[in-house]
Amino acid sequence: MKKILKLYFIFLIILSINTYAQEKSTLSGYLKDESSGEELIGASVYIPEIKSGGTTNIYGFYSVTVPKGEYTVQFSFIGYNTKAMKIKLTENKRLDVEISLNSELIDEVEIKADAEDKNIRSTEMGVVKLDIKEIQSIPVIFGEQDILKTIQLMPGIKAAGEGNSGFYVRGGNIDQNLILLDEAPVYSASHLLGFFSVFNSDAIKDVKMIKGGMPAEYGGRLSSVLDIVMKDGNSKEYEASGGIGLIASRLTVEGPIVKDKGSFIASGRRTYVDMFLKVSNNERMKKSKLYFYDLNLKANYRFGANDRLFLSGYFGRDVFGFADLLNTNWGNATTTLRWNHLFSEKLFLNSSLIYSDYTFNVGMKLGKEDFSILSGIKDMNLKEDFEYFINTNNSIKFGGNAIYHTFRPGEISSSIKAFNDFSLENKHAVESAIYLSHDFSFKQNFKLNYGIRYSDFLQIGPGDIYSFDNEGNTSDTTTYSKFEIVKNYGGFEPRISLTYLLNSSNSIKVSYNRNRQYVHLLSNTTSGTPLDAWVPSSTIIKPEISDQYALGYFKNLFENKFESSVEVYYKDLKNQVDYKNGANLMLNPYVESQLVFGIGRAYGLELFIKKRSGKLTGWISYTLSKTEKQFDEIDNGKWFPARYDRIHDVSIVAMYKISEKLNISATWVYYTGDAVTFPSGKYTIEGETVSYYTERNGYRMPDYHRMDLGVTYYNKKTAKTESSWNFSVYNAYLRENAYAITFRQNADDPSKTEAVRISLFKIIPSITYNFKF
Amino acid sequence: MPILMILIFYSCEKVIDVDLNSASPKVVIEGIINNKPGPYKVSLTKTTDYFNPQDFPLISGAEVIISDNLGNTEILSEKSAGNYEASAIEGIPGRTYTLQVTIEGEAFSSTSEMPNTTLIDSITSTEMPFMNPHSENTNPQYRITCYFKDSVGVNEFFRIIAYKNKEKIPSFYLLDDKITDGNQLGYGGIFGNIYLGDTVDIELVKIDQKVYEFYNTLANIIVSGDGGRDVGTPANPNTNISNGALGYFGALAIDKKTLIIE
Repeated sequence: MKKILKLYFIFLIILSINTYAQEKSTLSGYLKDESSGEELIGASVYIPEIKSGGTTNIYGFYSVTVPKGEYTVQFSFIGYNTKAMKIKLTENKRLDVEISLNSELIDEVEIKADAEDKNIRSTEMGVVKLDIKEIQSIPVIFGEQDILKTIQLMPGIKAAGEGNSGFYVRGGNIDQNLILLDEAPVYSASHLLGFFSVFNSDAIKDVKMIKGGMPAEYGGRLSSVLDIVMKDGNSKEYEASGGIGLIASRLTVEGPIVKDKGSFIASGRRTYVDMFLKVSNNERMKKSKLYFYDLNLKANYRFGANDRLFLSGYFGRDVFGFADLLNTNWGNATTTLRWNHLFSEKLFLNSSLIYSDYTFNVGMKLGKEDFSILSGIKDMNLKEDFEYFINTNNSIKFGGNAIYHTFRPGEISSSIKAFNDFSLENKHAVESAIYLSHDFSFKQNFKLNYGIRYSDFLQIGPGDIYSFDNEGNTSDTTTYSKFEIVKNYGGFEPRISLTYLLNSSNSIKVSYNRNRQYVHLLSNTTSGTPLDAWVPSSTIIKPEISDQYALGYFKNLFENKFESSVEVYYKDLKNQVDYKNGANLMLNPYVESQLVFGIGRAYGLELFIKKRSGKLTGWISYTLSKTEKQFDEIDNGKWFPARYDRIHDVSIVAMYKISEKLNISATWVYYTGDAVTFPSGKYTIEGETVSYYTERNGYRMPDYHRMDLGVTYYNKKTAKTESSWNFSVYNAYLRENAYAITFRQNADDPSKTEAVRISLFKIIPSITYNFKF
Repeated sequence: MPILMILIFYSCEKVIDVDLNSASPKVVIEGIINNKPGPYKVSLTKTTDYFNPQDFPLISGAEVIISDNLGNTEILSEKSAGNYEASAIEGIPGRTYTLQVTIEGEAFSSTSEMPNTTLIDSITSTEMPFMNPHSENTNPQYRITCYFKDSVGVNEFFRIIAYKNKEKIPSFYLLDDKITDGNQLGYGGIFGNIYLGDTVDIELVKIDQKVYEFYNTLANIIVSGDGGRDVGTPANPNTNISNGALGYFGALAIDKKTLIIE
């Protein structure tokens, strides 16, 4: 607590430093899309006379403070026409600017916008930004656009498996990714056993993935932050858009609440595979269910020039039911209430109240008796983020948050009374953090972003806390009362990132960051299941810690038509979690006795080249990497490759615009097979054949490769309507990739043992009709 | 639409060649003593390469001794290659047994306590609401429930072994009383193509913790049988034998009941 107070005073001191004497004025305001009124995130405001400027924050706000005078101010954003305005600054000025989407063939447009070399200038490294429009032309499985599948095509990010939307970032586990939707954590980001992500791209405005050099305002997970921002809705006119696909359909409605003051958006998606069960003549099949849906809702309203409220929510669920015997459903519900307030043209505050709830329900009927289990995690988060735009060379971000976590490992309710006693106790924790960071440019070609975050974690009562002996049996039980502190952890997380601009198209960046993670997902399957439970750090589970060092070289070629980068990273991981042999993780009140703790290291090289404009666009990404772990209890303490260690990982994405009406696209992915444990011998027990293993993850799955193709045909546009057809083929050359390899006795000849490869998805064609009016 | 369904749920299996290492052979010991009349058997084998035929090398000429905590000791005789039998020593619940094996000068040992027997109160059969889709027989199938009482205040470990018409059902049914201490238990998950008229024998086997852990970790990796549990990275079962041998030595307290499905 003392440390927190100390930091708070440092904040105050920095705030009270006055920007020095020279007479200056501030130009500030919002940058928006001309047709929809949507604020643009990360757009550039550039003043050529002083070769300096700023960028808009995630609410589209910018603020530049410069000496008084007359300037040409350029407002630009990738894919938009740059707007240059002559502005005479004699006093502080508020200026909201609208720029228009560039509808011309991109290569005909002179590329001069400063925004185009933002990747070179900013201190961001290890950052992947997705262009939502780009996503729409990339072919995907079942024709469902998916940001998580697209992000897997970037260097350093690996798919969790065939058709799976889970991902690993720079050697981190799935649970080390923080996935935020309008600031609310989404604890389970996939539907239908991983084949779809929960993010309906119709409702999404901006996607940013941070895999290294993490700024101090983010924390709570070791590996990455995927920051997803929902659209605010068209504030100028009503609009409906949607798509009809083979297995799912989507509909989005948006429009102004009061023109240019407030808007709303409602976007829904539902699969309908189960509709076909209804036509079955089997009574049981008729009563069965298998579907998922997503609903994104958002509304915002401006109160005067300095205040704005946003309310956004996401509700999604998977439902699976078999006859009336089994009924399972799971999903997330998140709500974010935000208030943007401008204290002055230089000080921006966002306050957020965030709620996130992930639940998994299983209901069973056994004759007349019923039985249900609910598990999940629930968060309440209060967050304050200040941005202080001092001048074009200095800006400061600071703030803090406090999350109240409720972990629900398994609440059982049943008409059979005896079962109710098996309910597992909920666990509670408070996770809080404060941070301060300073973005600083000096000597024309250096940019520095440094900051510090202090995070604190309290596991609190009520509840019984167990300790265990070497055999894993309970040796002691301590009962804590409500809000009583069970365990406290905390520590500093320094972050620093430096950019050295060699010239306008070349830069070198270095970064270091330390992250702490206090919540852990227990899952011993490779891709995760909806049943996996989150647990808090506790007397037994220590917070996970990572230190990441990264170095990168960024270069733009041919007048920013191409961007390229080379990055290397090294990551040191502490207090990693693995499982004892035969661990029982499900509905086990003593689950902590099933865990083992160790360390990890990950390092790699990432290459990326992207063609940003012209008829042909796309990118090539390549990752060379190694991820290893070490646990005293596993393999006699030897280092072993992580299950998802892949040496080579290549993605090629190409999109070609044949004409205004026709677009074709292709992706190709290749990666080294995952590290896997295969038998190196066999023996017999009770007459059964038993595999004999010699080392953990000592073998490799066969290499994976696949090509997907897509064609988009745009129907004739009218003033009011647009529509298009999208055809795509997943796994176009029918590669039989191994989903799993199992070893077994031959069914016909038990004297033989054999290896069997299981492949999914030989080829999947799909068709989707998209419309907008 | 049916075409789409096939595409979605389509998966194909293919036998492939995998280049597996050839590990140096390891000693495998499987020894059991129980509360039923003997003889009690200990078998000694070795591991072999995974794709070799299913003849596991047998270890002859080893010295195999079982003793108990009351000082009774017996040197087992080798009845056939690799198969050793005890005929004199008695299996009595509550006693602790030690197995000592010496193979070409290399010594292995293990200790297992035979718990007190827990008796089966009753076994019942229930018609299953749906069929095993892989079964050709479309008659109603049954599942079996085994009822027994857990003792209060002691950690107890159970395995249920089911036989259908004297043939062992290859599933592992394991339970401990960590969260159900002292309760009346009904284990109702026993099934394996059981039909009307079948005779089902149920053995309730009580074991010590180490043997339980062996069975539990063995069940995770046995591929044959319908176990198929997805429990993460496979690893060798946790053995209770010293000096790096595979397998286990178990002292089991068994109670048995029979049910004819009618």
